[in-house]
Amino acid sequence: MSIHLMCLSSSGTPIFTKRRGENVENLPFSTVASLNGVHLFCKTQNVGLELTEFGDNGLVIWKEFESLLFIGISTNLTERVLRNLIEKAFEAMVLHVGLNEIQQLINIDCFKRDLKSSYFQIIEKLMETAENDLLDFNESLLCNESVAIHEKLLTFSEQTFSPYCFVLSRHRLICASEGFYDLHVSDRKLLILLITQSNALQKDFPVFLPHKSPTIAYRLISLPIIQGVSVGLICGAKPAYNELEVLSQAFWQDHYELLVSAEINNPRNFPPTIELDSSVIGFLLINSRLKKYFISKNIQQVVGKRSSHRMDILRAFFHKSVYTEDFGALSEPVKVPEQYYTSDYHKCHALIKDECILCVLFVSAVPTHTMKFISEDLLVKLLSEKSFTL
Amino acid sequence: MNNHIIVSHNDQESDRSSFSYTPSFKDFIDEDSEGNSELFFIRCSEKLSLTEAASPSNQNAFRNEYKRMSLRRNRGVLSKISKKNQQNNSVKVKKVENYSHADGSLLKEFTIVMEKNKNTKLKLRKSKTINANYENMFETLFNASIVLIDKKLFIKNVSESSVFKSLQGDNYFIKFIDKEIISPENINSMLKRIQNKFAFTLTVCGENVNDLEHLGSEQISISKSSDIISNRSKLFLMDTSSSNEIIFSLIVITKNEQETSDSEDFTTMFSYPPKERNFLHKLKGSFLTIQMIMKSSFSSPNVTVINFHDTKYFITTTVKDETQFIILSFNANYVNRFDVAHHTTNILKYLDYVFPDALNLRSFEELLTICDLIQVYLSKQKSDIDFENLFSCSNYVPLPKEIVLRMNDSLSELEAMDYRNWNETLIELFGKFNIIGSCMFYKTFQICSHFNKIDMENIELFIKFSCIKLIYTHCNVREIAIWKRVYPKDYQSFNGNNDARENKVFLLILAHGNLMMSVLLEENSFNSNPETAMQNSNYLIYFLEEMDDILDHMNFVGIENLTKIWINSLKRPLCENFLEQDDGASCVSDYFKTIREEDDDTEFDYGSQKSSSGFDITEFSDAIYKDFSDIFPQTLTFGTDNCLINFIQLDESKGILITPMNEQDQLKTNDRMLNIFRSGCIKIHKLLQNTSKFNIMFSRETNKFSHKSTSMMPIKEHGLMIQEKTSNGNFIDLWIIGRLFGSREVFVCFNGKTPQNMIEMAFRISINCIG
Repeated sequence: MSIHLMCLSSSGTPIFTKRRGENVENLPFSTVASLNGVHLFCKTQNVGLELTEFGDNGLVIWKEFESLLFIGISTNLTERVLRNLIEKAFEAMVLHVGLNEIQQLINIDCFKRDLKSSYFQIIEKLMETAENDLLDFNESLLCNESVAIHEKLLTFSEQTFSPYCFVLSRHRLICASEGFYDLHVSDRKLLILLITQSNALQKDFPVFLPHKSPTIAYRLISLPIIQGVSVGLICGAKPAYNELEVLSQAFWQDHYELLVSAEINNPRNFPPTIELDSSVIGFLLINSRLKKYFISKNIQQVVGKRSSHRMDILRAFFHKSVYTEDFGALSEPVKVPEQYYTSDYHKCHALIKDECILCVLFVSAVPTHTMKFISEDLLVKLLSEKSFTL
Repeated sequence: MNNHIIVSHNDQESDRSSFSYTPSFKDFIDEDSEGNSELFFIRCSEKLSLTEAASPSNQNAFRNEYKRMSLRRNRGVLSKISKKNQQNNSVKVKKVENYSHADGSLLKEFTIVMEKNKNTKLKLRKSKTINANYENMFETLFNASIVLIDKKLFIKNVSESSVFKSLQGDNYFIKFIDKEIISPENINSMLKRIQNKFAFTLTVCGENVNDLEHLGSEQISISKSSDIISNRSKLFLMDTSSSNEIIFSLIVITKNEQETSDSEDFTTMFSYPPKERNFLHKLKGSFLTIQMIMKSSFSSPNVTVINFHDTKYFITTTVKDETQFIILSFNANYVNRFDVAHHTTNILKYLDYVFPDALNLRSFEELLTICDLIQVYLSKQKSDIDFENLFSCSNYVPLPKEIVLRMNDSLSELEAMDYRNWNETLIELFGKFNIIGSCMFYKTFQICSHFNKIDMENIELFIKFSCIKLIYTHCNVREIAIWKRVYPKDYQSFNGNNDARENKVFLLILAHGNLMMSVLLEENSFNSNPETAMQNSNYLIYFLEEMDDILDHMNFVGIENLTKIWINSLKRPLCENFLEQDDGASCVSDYFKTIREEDDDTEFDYGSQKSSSGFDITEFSDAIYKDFSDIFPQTLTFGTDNCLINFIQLDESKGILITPMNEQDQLKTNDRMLNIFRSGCIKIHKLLQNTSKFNIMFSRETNKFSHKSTSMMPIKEHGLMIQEKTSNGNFIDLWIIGRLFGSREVFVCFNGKTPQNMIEMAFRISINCIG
């Protein structure tokens, strides 16, 4: 897998170029300029240049946002993922500088300075995980404690006068207020990414919400509570960070045990009350309404370094088979409630029911026709957890 | 008053045992000053569903018309060539009397009495007697064609020499032959019966059918490929008055290096449609730049997606011979993104095949016609997801081994050119050319091939982009005669010269009805006579005559009928209990009994049964019939009521594609279920292709290879369950499963309630249906 991501101004000046992948070299400036020139020429002829496919799974996408042109070049990445990546790159830019500044772009050097290092950290993280991350969904933690934590969070939300509150365990969402879920999934994704990528001691960032509020800035505040668990919220100019820090310590100190017991579900990521079938290596559960996902592995089955690779297989199964538009050519949509594939090493099975998508990775020895029953059984168990809908 | 037309054979013709279908296509041979000749002749008629329904697709046809195989050697080449100019009409008008009466719906009635000289026989060549197509039989006997309208057989296209030429004014249908009422069901047998009679009475009845001209299957003659374009409204029911929508564009750009400077000049040499209507012309610089970038940075051809006037287009750019760029564009309303790369590859292969090297001014006139034909081909794809036709693989029909053996034998005989009683002319004729290979088609399905994969692929592309496949799908083909010089690039010449421009290779295609044959010939430079170097066309006609003879022979032994029945009844009886055979099966048993009895029939005395492969067919025919009697064609039907709904087998490495070929099902190309299945196949095919790449990488780089690239997974089976609403409002679960067996991909679609063992059965049927 390789990715090149470039952003150019309307005059053709590069704002940034990033690359990712093994043995991937920087593109010469002449190539970048030519790609920009081609897009510009087509535009003058009233032709919209969308993308070019090349070689085996190679892709170039041109996408114009306001006065900026983003060019994404990738190999072995689906079109949807590369498009998502480009969109996220632009939205992250809005998150940092706001839409007005992008629209009234005069001084490129000033603009680059304004983007700050945290923007490029987000871009790099997005590119790093593009193949494996589910850019359209927020990663969450499935735990028994989430209901109780959710109740506390609502009270905390009232006390801080912020409708946008959420609790994170490492980079996973335990629960969030209703207002937070009302935000666009991209806004949520970028806010969480900004918190997890930042090394600042005092996490208080001015942010524009790319979908909710691209022109008016808010404050994103992350308040650490215990090791690995933090509370995030979006608010206006007030209250000050120190006040919020005091308030949160006072509020959450009575609930440390709750947060600790939620935290120990990491990295298993599902409650110990649920038992997985021995043939299951891992699973990916998606709530398509709330746009969040839970990914987990069966510790009994996971040995050594290859466990993360197995999770990548599960994500790749989702990207390449489940989350596609392969029946788009048909006049009416097609319902695909179940699908699977088998290889010499693993078997994958996906079950789609209402708002749930469950993808399960099995050992290759499992009989194909039994996968459905194991998946259905697992789905029933997982849905019994209320945190799925929180 | 009765009108008697007394008909008898001309005595001069009485010793002729046969006459041929071969049209006088000499008139259509296009020869240039360099001695390069071309022939493109197609005769077909509009397809009427009624006519189709009346064709003999029942078991009786199978039983009665599949006759004992005989080699055609006894009708020697010499005798045939010496007689070919003697062919004339078989009947002659002696006497005409008028008779008419008005009676209700009847307006006029003619009774034609045909009498024959007792020394002659009104009889077709044996091959023709077996031909099940009553239209051809009638035309040969009476020099007029018949059309089925509302269960009546109307006489049409009456020629000057026909006995029916006096029937003017009204439209006449055949009412009686020898006082027996004629219907589409018995016309075949009646026509056969009258061949052996010395006199018979034929009564025709006039009726006012105002729109007969409209309804009747009008004959369409195509004498050059551009005629297909001018006749496309009749051939393919296309609306020619439609908008100026650009479906397909092509431009050829040549790079001229300036001697005086380092700059390069790119000139548009050819544009389809013309430059002023072709947006590619304006944008050529952009696509050339993209091509250059991709070539230098990513080393591959590319597909670009653009939006122009709210329509999406797919553009592909290819470099040919380092000096030419070919840019193609496809309208996204007609072509899926997945199809674009396949179409591009196929079109470029086709252009390579029909043009010697770089495209030049001389080839542009032909290229224009080719582009028109491609546009017609693509425009007929609209709204269809045509997974099967994307590949350059032949759609193969696995016939019973015995039939394939016999076809192989006939083709081998042609290829071996092992004729006895040669004289000098023939020695020169057959010494002048080497036959590279030959193959046989039933409509668009390949039934036998002696070509390697590349040649077969090229021929498949030729018949696809010449719209021959489309013509077969939309029309009733009577005759096709084509020869064309082609330039296959990747084969080792018999002359030891691998230069496509130097070797003269000709592609010959001949069809009678549904059977089509293709032969690839190479001029033998070692044995060429400079005096006859310019007379290729004269020699190629002889080869067409030979192919004509083979097709007659195939008709004679009933291959066409058997193939049709095999297709309609489909495959092996793997999923039915043989003990519960239906009437059809018992009919077939009777049939085999009959043909065993006919084995001893002395009417067909063809002498030795030795095949060109050196063994005597008669020695083991009994054993084969025994094997045959164990095979009962059973209807393996498709649809939502069945366990197995559809299947496709694709082997790109061998160039084989196998699909269900039930003709009735083929008509339902717009069926949503079929489109869902094909979409599923595309999705699965893409994943299985990754596996092939994975395996190649794995075998090449065993040491370096890591499993880290998650996008490359060796998937060997992929299944999708589709929930679909049926016409009665219920939901039905369908499984579409694709499985990889080596290089072979098998896709099956079956009902969701099917148990696992039946699924395995579905794969078995799909895999084992070859032979």
